[in-house]
Amino acid sequence: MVGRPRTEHDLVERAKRGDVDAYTQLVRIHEQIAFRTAHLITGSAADAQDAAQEAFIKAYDALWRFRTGAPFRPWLLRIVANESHNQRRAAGRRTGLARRVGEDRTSGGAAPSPEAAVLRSERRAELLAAVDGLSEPHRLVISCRYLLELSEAETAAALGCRRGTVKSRLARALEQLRKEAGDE
Amino acid sequence: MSELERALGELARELEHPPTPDLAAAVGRRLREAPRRRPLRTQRIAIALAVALVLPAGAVAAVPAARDAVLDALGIGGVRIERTPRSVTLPPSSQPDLGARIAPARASGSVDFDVVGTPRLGTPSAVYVRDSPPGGALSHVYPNGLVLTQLRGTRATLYAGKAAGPETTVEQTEVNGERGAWLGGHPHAFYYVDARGHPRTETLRRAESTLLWQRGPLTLRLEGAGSKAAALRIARGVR
Repeated sequence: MVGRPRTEHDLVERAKRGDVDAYTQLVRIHEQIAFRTAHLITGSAADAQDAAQEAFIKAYDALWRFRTGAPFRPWLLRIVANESHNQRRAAGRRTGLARRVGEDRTSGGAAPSPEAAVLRSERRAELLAAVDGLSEPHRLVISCRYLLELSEAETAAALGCRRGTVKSRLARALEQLRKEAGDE
Repeated sequence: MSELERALGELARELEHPPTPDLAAAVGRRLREAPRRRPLRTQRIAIALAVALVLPAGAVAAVPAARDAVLDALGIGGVRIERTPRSVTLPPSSQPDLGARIAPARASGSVDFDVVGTPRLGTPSAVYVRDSPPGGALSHVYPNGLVLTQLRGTRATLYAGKAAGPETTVEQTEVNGERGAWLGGHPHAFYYVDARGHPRTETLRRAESTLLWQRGPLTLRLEGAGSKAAALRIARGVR
């Protein structure tokens, strides 16, 4: 058994039996998406860290009711989102994306001309501001689906709604964004 | 995919997120520091209490102390299972107190929750209802000796308790994805607790091998199935 690569299923089963090392490996696999999802909701890195950590502890305590064979990530993200909402309520904070778009990281090929880089950066900043200006449900659905690249099922889990709701809300959010960003 | 969606995709790749903290290390540390925080396992639970359950009267009196001593004993729904270091002995006359007998047709109207059941067990020979715990407890007794009891309860609402001595096997199990426990071997004691969490002496009774499990907001109890496998087969069919 030693040294065999562990599948997520193995790790979950071992963690269910109280294997903290196995659970720590699971945390390692999912900590980035958990933290980013928490950050999206809380709007603060410190709150996101607390919320994500608390969510992992709660998920551990709740592992007994995790259905064997079910995908772990949506289940986890649901707990992360709940914890993040609690954290945010406690902090009483209005969140915004409050994030920056990185310097041009166009990979490979020739560097874009300075003019093109500025233009791209401006457009991205505008788009980000437009996302930020959406209503909370629209901002969250766009951010989950496109900025965190969660699946529809994961987005539904993180937002605590049905997949059908994710679809319809996403369509409305995109439409709103088109108007805001002057895409049409 | 629209241009907007493509632009969002690009944005995702270029968005700067704050660096992810080392959550795995922090979580691992917290879990190791607090050994009580383990998922309950499928194994015999060995919680030794510094209290003895010896005689019925003394037994009941000792139960609150037991509850204080073990804050996180195994709980299934509204029922807490406590390990005791000595056998639970009850007078042979202690009869199951299932409450008042009612007509089967009145079962669903007699309790404050949606009644569940399974066609597998056939028609009950008798139905009993009692008003404790809150919401009521409904018991169906079947001709083959099986007793299926349902009551409302989650871990947050402790309604009843079981005291299991060393000869009683307590195994955690799962029924349709929800938590359950099998108490096999030596008879154990079953009691209801009042609104303040104190066991009610008049409810203490002897219980044979039992499967306890949670089903949504209900706690279900199946007695008399004989083996764990037989109990689980029946329990999985309860809807």
